[in-house]
Amino acid sequence: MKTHPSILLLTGALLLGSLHAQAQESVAQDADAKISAIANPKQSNGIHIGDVLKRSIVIDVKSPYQLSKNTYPVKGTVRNGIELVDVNVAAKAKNGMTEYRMDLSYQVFTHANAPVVMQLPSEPLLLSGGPKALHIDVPTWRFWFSPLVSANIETAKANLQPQIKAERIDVNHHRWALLGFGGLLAGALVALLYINADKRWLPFMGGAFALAHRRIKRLPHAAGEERKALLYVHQAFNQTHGSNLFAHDLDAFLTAHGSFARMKQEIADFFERSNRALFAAPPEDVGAFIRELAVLSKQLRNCERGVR
Amino acid sequence: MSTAIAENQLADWRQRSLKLESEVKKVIVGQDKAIRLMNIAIFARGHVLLEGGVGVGKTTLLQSITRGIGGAYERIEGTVDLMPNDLVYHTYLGDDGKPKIDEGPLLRAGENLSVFFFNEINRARPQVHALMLRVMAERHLYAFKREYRLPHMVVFADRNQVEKNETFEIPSAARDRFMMEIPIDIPEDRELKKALMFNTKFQHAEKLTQQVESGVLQFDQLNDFSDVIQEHISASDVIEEYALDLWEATQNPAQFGIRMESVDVARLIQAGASPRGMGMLLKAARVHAWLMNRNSLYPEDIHAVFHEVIAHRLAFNAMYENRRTALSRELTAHILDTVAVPSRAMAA
Repeated sequence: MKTHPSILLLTGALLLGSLHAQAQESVAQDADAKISAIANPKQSNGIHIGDVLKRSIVIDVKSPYQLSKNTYPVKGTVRNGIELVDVNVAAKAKNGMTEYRMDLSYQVFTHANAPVVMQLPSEPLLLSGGPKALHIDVPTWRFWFSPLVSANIETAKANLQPQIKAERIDVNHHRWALLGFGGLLAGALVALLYINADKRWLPFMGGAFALAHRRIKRLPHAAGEERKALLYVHQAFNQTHGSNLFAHDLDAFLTAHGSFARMKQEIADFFERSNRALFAAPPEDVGAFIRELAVLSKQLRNCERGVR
Repeated sequence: MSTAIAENQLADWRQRSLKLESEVKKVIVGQDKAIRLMNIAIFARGHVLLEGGVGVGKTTLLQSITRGIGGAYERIEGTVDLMPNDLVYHTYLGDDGKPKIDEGPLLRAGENLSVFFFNEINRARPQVHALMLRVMAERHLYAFKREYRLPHMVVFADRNQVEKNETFEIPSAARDRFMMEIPIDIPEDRELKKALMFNTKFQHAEKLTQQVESGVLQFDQLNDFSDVIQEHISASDVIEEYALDLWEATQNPAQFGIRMESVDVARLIQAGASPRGMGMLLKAARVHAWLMNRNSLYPEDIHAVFHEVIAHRLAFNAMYENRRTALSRELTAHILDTVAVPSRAMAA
């Protein structure tokens, strides 16, 4: 086969041109320019449509080289569904070098039904001003793009959930706790009334000594009234004992009614004082006598109610 | 008599009275309550009916008390052929072969007689009862054409409760002459029972009695001092009302709400306590108050003697009479349990 001379010439020219071009855009060596730092987005998965991904690149370029402004990434460039939405380049000279800080913001506008691997594109940058034509490339950065809907959704209807009544919150244990607390509160109130009240409108409040105490409190402090006060206490003792109670029956009474045992001495004293007042000599100070009987009857009422 | 002298006399006699009790307790065990009641009867100058089985120590008890109070002690056994004159005299043939007459046990000691013990009085005929009861009431007897005075005599009679053959029930009028009927029971304490069985000192009653100090009291001064006690111990209007309630309760217990099992209380009583009985009750209660070193009568004093003074005086309807010992005790207990002390006095 014969080759046309013009074709050979053209081929040669192209080959030379290519060699020339290779000679002009050699990869920058570390001594001339280098990427000293890259800050990529922290999260490389779960990226959705509309998310903005920012990366910062710091490039050190040795003088006399400098980045050619013509090769700066162009805002609005869309590559594989990723749009460069913002570009900021700042240059700062220091120690015979120029430090370029390039902030690039990309926004994802792609569409996919399943998670796919995507990448922020490589940005080729040319260096000029030096004896050689150099270039340096910002590397790609890969990430997982996640779709917002599942892959098999075809219609919204298929994906619709039936409208259901909101589930009731189980408050039973709260209710029991509330009832328990309410019961305790009511019990405490009743107990408080029981301890302090004199009336007989609550059950078990009409005890013999409660009645005696109430009557004694109402007695005027006049001569002769001390007999009534004594009668009321004696009646309470008799009623509680089930028959007449005298001093010599006291042990049997206290055995049968243990709640009064702590008042043994006071009860014995009462019988002695009662005998003196009724059968020997009436008390000189009737008022004090009745007041003391009121105190005693209250103490006995507390015994009767089982209250300390 | 000035108050101070009276107080000293009362204290002195109280001390001697309590000493008598302690002396008797040295030889008679397990009968503390009976001893206290007999002590009360001595100072209240009342006759006593002893109720108890055979061999429980009644005679020893009486001999011990007699030794303590001084004076003479006479005793007669009640038998179905005992006649009243057996108490007054007895006849015998003298050394000269002529019939002789001597005073009987009732007159033998004259005014020195302090305790006369009539054992098993219900074995004696009613004629004997009549004489005895008259002497108990009047404390004198006309015999041998002269009057015998027995001013210091206290009669202790024993009633056999076990046997009914050849016995004559003491009528209620006769029972009423006795101030108290005191039960003498066998002690319940096992140690005391053991001592009574095994301690040889209890086998010789005479030696036992000798251990009691003699003449702790002066028997011929008891009548006068008894009056001092009765005058000294006061009774308030409340205690008077209470005693009156008790009396009425013995006459009509149903009115006071007294209920007894297996007994129709409304039909139980034929006659309640007599005025003499109630007088004796208060008399004995005053002595108890004095022994308790008080100047006023308390309900406890009445309670201390109530059963013993009242129970034997109650006359029951015939349908209940054969259960009188148990029923009378039960009734008096119910009366004390039911009749409240100051109820009527408060309303005044």
